[in-house]
Amino acid sequence: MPQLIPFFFLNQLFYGYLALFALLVLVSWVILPYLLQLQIVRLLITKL
Amino acid sequence: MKFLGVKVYRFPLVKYYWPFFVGFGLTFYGVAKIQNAMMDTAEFINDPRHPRFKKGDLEKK
Repeated sequence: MPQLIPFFFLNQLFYGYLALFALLVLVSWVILPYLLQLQIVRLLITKL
Repeated sequence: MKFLGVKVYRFPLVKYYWPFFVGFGLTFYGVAKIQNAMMDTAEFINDPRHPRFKKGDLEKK
């Protein structure tokens, strides 16, 4: 793997950022709202 | 809103994460400078993957 060969630095950084951004979108748009909805539904079922 | 059959709640990412995106940009710029400096060191200047060979500069340095 060419992590320390300078010709590939920007390539690695670019795809690293792309992966981080995809994770950020997935977590903040899909996973966390789903967990929040689940918590609220459970709260409503048990407290009301 | 649905995307690929999954419920999606759009959250304003740029509004809250813009300092991180600026940091990404600055890091990218810094790494590009490091890459350009490292490519021209003695260890890599004659490496066949060096982009100068694609530009037609074929002499050994």
